[in-house]
Amino acid sequence: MATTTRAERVSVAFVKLTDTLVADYDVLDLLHTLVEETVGLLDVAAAGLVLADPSGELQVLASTSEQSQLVEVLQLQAGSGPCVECYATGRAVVVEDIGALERWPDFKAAALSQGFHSVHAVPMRLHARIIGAMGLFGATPGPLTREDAAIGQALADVATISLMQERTIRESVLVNEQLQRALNSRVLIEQAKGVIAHTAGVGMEEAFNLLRNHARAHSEGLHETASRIVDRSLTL
Amino acid sequence: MDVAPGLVAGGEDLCGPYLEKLPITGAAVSLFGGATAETLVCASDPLAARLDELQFSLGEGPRWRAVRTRLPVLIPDVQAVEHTDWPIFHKAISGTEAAAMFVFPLTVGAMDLGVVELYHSVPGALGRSGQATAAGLAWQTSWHLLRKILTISSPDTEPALEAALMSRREIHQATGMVLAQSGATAADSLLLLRAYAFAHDLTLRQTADAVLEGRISFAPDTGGGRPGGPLLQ
Repeated sequence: MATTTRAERVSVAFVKLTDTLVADYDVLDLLHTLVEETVGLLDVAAAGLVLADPSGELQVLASTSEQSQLVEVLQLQAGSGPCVECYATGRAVVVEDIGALERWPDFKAAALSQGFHSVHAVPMRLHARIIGAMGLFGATPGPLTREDAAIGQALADVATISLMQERTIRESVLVNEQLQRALNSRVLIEQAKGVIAHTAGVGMEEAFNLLRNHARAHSEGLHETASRIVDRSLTL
Repeated sequence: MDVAPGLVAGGEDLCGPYLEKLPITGAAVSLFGGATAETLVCASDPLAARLDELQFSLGEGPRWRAVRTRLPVLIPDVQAVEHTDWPIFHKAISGTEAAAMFVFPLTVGAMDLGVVELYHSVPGALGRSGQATAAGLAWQTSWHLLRKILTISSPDTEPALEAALMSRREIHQATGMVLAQSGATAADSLLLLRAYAFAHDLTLRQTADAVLEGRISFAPDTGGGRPGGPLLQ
């Protein structure tokens, strides 16, 4: 039965995500798992995740495609768009038909050019603290089903909890080691992609694939592998 | 080549939050301006500035260990203990008000951007909570410095565009390519990009794109240029 299959897949996705809570995990791996599982489970074409840096600006941390076009759409969102609004308000932002949008013209043009016709942005929040947002892009106009929306939010919640788990409430500075690590890792991985692109003579997408495949084959975190590439102790 | 033009703006108090939130007497933030120079971004008092300067000119002191290890160096009683790592610095600060010193590296990704040096006139440890607070503040300072490095003020760059620069992955990718080409560190590679952009009246993004497309190379052996110098191909 279809519903059983789906329920099983949903619970497998949650187990995957919560596994990271107990293991010594790589935070970017977790976020990549999150966006991939989300697209696998929901009726969406692409997903991307933005987290706020210390100045409150949103950075693209993970996306189902490293292709610059999707990242570009998310980056435009980081300037203004559904994800920014979702982050600012802490509430889901639903655009059922991007083609009919009157605000965010830059976002609209970029999204349509990539074949995205709807977006559902869900907040990543823990209690009163909002750390970012996940954008779910659809290839056709229309809202997510109520069930899809709930699953999307639940996946985002689990990822948020695992990102925030080490936060000590008493600290006067509202930062968190995992969040710091996630933002730093993203910069490191881009740098590593640049190194690989030069040394292996490949494009950025392929550079990321080489990086990720090496990390997986050697059971390393993305951060660790990227770090060794940038300090030049590892050449792919 | 001045690789850090315009990085130190007046009237900016990066040290303030450390004094506000930690049991310390003084703070200094120092930015590495490439291979040769370095820049004191702020110091809350003359002794804080002196401690930074001394370590830099002597080439020894806790800040160098913080840079090397990329970890905090915490010395609760800097006057009492003989430090085999920094004997001259130890002698130089004896009798000053610096009783405890805490140095935190400022890093983003693989980039070593600088250090923040804190001192307290009373000996004693920072404590677990103080350490976490200081590390969090250092993280904020690091991103602030990175933002400044990525932002080049020029009349034709709109503020909104400058803000968007921060999330441009291409700049970090180009940094990686320059690093592989030049053999420089990640931070120096970014500063090289920045200096090139500055000198050629380009935005950092335009320069990064040129590197990614192979129109500029920072490889020393691309023929004819001075070693390490970027070449337009």
